[in-house]
Amino acid sequence: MAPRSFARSLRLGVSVLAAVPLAVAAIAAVLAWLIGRDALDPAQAVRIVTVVLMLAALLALGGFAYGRRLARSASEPIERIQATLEALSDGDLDARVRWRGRDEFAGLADSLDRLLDDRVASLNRTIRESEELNDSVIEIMKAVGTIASTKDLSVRVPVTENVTGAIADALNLLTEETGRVLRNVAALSNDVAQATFAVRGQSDLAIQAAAREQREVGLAAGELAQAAQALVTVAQRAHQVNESAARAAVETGAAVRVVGATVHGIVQSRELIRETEKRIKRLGERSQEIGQVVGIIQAIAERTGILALNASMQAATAGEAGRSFAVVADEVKRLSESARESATRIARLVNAIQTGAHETVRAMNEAITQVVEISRMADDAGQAMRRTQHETDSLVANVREIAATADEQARTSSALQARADVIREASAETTRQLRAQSIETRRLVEYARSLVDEVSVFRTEKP
Amino acid sequence: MTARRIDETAPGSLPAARFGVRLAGVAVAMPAGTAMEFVADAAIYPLPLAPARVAGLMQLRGYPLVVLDASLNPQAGGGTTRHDVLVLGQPPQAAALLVDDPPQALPDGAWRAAGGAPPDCAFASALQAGSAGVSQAGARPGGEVPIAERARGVERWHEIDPAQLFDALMRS
Repeated sequence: MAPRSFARSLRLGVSVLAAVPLAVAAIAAVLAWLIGRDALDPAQAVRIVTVVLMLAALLALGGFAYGRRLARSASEPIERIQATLEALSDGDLDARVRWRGRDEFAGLADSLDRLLDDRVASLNRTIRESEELNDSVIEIMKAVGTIASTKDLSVRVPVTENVTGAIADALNLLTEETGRVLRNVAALSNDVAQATFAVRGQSDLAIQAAAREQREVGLAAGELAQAAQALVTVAQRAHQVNESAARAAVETGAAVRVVGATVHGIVQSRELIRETEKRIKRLGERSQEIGQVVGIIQAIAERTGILALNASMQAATAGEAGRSFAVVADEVKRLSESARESATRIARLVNAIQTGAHETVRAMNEAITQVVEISRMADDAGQAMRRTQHETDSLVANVREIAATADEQARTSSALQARADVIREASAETTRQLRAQSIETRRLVEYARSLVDEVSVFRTEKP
Repeated sequence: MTARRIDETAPGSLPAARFGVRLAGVAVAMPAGTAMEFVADAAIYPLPLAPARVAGLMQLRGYPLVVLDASLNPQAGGGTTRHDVLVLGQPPQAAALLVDDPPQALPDGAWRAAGGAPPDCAFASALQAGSAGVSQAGARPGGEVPIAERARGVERWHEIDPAQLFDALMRS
């Protein structure tokens, strides 16, 4: 069976009601036009109008009946729906519309009934779940109360499958983590207590060290004052040394020039000795030639002696007649002996000259060697003096820098002395602060012990 | 050297009466009248197959002379040698003797005559004969040499006659 549409019926009725006046008006207009054209007589027109009015009246009556029926078909389901809703609002969850029909109101009532069924089922389910949730919450509250009363973090909250299961699980995790943290806190508290105790000991030592430091700083300040005075003296000495070094540089320069002149003189002496050596060698050669001549003279004297001997023997052979000849021979013999003795003395002298020349040449060679060595040493001395001059110049510059540095050090030492006073004051303040810190550390020890006591209230699982 | 005149150097000096020479270590004094000539470093050429006493030949101003060795055991030379020799006599009738050193004049009073021949002397017979036959006018009497003379170097000389010397050498 095809559903009847209330809306379409309503639109149809309205259309019919709207079409009647329009048709009447149109008929009236047509009649008026016909009358105006004299195509229709008034009587006809009256009959036509009458007919039309009667038709209109019929249509109006039919429309009224149709409208009443249409209104009743709409109001009844609405009233049923209203009554159902009122029953629901009064708490009758079983109230339903239960309207049967083929129009929209039947569909609406059916939909409303199904909606109510769903809502009621959902409400019941919600109620049941709410009750389970309440039970779970009660269990959680009991467990938390047990934990709070007994401080036993090993107690576990029952874990359900509803939404409180996650809460219970989270609480268990929380208690477990809290227990672990408390264990760590307890261990850390012990460590803190021990460390604090150690800190207190170190603080006492630091106080003693600070006292010593203060005493040492005082001594250092005094020594710095002495050092400042000493540095002032050093600066004065450095200035004096600077002047002495400058004079030493001038003297070293003069010494370098003297050594250079000495080296030049030694070189000239070496050349002179070499020339003298040559001349002495030539003298030795001449004396050797003299020796050769002396040898010849000795040979001549020897042969003259032999000649004199033979002459004397011949004179002796001649007897008295050879007496004068014997005298001549004897004189020749004496001459030869004298010549031989003189030649022998000359030979000894020549040998002595040669020996002396040889010794002189050897001595001069040694002298040349020594002169060369002395020249080399003088040259080395000159180079050493030049290096000394260079070093002295560098020394002068360094001493000048030392003097300037000593002045700067004296000023710095004065500033250090002032800083030492500041440090001494700071050290005294440090001592005071350390004593205060010691007191606070003692308090911290007490706090740590209290913390250990507080944490030890909780019973936790053994790790 | 101071030049001296001959008459100033030896006023009244007499010629030597003897000339002493050493033959094989024996000091002999020869009379001054004997023709003698001393040659230093004379070249002596050995003479093959000659008697041992003959040392060799030498030449003096172109004359060959026989050289005798007065030593007890003459050494036969292998080659030319040089030695001091004393030539006795006038060439070409002359002979030479090997001497130890040049002769020296023995003025009277400056030497002493030795008695007897020394042992191991090749010409001992000439010495004994010389001692018997030669006058010892210039020599002091034999015997011990006085201390003063010994201090002055007075030496004992064996007087010898050259002819007897040659005879003794040729017989030895």
